[in-house]
Amino acid sequence: MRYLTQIFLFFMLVCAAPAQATGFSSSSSQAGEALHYSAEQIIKFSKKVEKTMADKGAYVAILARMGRPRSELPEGMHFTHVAFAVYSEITTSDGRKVPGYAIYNLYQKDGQPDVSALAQDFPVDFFAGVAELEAGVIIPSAELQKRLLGVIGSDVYSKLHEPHYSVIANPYTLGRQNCTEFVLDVINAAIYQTDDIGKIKANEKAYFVGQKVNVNPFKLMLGSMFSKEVSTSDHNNGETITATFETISQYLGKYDEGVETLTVIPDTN
Amino acid sequence: MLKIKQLLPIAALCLAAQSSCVLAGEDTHAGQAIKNSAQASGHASASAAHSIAASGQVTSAASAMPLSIGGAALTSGGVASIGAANESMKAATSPIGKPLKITDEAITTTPPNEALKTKESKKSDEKI
Repeated sequence: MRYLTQIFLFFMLVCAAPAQATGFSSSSSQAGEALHYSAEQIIKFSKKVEKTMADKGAYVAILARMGRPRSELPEGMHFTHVAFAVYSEITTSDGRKVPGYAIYNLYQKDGQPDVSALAQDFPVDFFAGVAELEAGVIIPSAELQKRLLGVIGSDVYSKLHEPHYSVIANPYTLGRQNCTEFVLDVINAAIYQTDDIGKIKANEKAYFVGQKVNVNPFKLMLGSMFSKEVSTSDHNNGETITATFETISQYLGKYDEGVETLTVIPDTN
Repeated sequence: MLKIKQLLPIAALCLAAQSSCVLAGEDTHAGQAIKNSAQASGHASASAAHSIAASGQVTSAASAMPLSIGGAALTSGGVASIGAANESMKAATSPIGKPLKITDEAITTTPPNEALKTKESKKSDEKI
C-alpha cells in the first residue's frame, strides 16, 4: 500500500509539471509557463545581466538560468538551461539598429519534448519564465571568445546540433543532446577549431568531467518510460553522466586561462 | 521499497522535462502584440513571454547579427560585413575585455502577427 502511495505521488508530480516554471531547455513561450516575477522584475534583471556582460567587455558569454526552484533540482545541478550570449547588432521591428546581446539556444520543440531546435532570442525572453532570478555567467578568455564568435557565425554551429533531445544527455556520446552538451560541443569546436564531432567527443572524453546523475537505474527506467525527454539510450550500463553549467565552468577554469565565472542576482532595493 | 525522498531526483527531472520543451517558432516566440495585452495578461495559460510582451515595456527585434571585434556584423557564413555606420558598429570598436555599449531598451523577439505584417499594413496601423 505504501509503495502504491509513493508511485501515485510520483505520477502526481509528473502530471502537475505543466503548471510549474520553465524547465531545462524550454522556451519561455510555452503555454502554461507562468510568470513567477513581474514583467518589471524580469526586464530589470535581464538588463542587469546584460550590463554585467557588457561591462566585462564580453563579446561572447555562456549564460545559465534557473528554470526550476533549487529545492527540486538533483544533486550537483543548480542551473537548468545554458546558452550563448553574443554581443550583436539588433535591428528593431521599426528598423533601428541597436547594440545588445542575442541569446543562442537549443530549445525543445513544442509538443515534441524529445526533439530540439536551435533558436535565437534575447535576455528578457531567456529569463521570462524562470523559477528564481539568478544567472550564471561564464566569460571565456579573449582568445576563446574570438574562436567562439567564429563558430557561432559559421555553418559549424548548426552542424553540431543533434535534434534528438534527452534531459540527461551523455556528453561523451552521440545520439542524444541537451542544451548543455550542445554548448560544450560548440566550445570544443572553437577550442580545437574543428567541425569533426568525433574529434570533439574524443577530447571531451579525455578532458571534460561531467556531472554524475545520482538516480538509481530503476528510477531512471521509470523516468524514461513516462517522460519522452528522459532517455538512457546514449548512456552505457555504468554511471549516468551529463554536462551542467557548473561542470563547463570547472572545465574552462582548468583549461581556459583568463576565464571568469560570475553569478548575477537582482539588486536588493 | 522506494522512499519518497529517493523518488525526488527523477521526479524533478521529469517535472523539468514535462514543463519545458516548447519552441513556438524559431525566432518568433516573444508573445502577443501589445494591443492584445489585456487578453494575454489575463489568460491563465498565457506564456511568460506573452506576459512580458503584454507589459508594453519591450521593443521587438526583427533580427540580430553577431558583431565581430572591430564593429562589423557577421554574416551567416561568419564573414564580416561592413555596412553603413550605425550605433552598433560604433559601439563594438573596443577590444574584448573593455566595456561595451548596450541599448537601454528591453529587446524581445518579434511576435508572429508583427512579423507577418506587410509594409502596407504597418502604414495603415500608423494611420489608426
